[in-house]
Amino acid sequence: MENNKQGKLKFWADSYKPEPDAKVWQSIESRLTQEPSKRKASILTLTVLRIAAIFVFVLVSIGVFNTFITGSSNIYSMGKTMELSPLNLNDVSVYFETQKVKDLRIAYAKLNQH
Amino acid sequence: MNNHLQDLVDRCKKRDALGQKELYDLYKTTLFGICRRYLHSIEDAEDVLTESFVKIFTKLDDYKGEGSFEGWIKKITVNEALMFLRKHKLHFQELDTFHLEFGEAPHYEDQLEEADIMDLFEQLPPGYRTVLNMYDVEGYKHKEIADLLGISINTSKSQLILARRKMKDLLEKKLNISNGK
Repeated sequence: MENNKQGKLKFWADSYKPEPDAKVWQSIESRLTQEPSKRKASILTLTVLRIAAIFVFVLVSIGVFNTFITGSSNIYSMGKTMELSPLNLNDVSVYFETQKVKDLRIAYAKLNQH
Repeated sequence: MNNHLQDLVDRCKKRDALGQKELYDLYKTTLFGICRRYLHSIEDAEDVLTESFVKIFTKLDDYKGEGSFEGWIKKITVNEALMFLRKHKLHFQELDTFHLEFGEAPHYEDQLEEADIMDLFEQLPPGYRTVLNMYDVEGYKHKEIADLLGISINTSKSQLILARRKMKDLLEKKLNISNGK
């Protein structure tokens, strides 16, 4: 019974079809023409932002690379000019192991060769 | 979906302006009927109709042909109307349903014209009207209504009870007047 009564309301709702004003279509039409241009604008903005991000990334990479190259070449040139004073083991008054002193001498000689 | 409608939908997917106008003409009165049932003012109903059609045309690619097309566009329109109501702070009178009897759905007399029923709908407070529409017309369950409107199930139930009572009173008054009592 209730379903029947509710059905009547549903029937009324389904058959209730008022006519909207003509200006509704006009506003839908103008909204629809705005939508693609809005989408185009947002795609353009996104592309510009992407290009800018790639550009910044390349600049930063070049900067980092330059710093690394300059830094390592500085260390190399410093190493080249470095000279050690003569090794005097007589100054060492404490007990030491002969083998270790020998190793130290070899290392010292190798360093001086550069 | 029949061939003509399928063709029309395909044309709309390709943003064909004439196709869009044809689809609008085909469904404008059905969807405007939904908007008018949910919203008191004609201007608000027209705004919701505009939003609904813009959404239908822009989201048409999401429609995969599962279920009826009319059902899909009606659902979009109901959701748009509910969004509008939520944005404009639809007020629900909180009541304890414990003492309220559910009662029957009002008996909508045959002699009532469409315009008469719409006139009765317009006299209902927005909260009553929304729940009555969703439950008695659209067939939503109280749980779904509660979720969609952000209210409790009890509030949904109480709104329906009160809406039916009010509708019954309004119907009786209307029939008494028309019978010359």
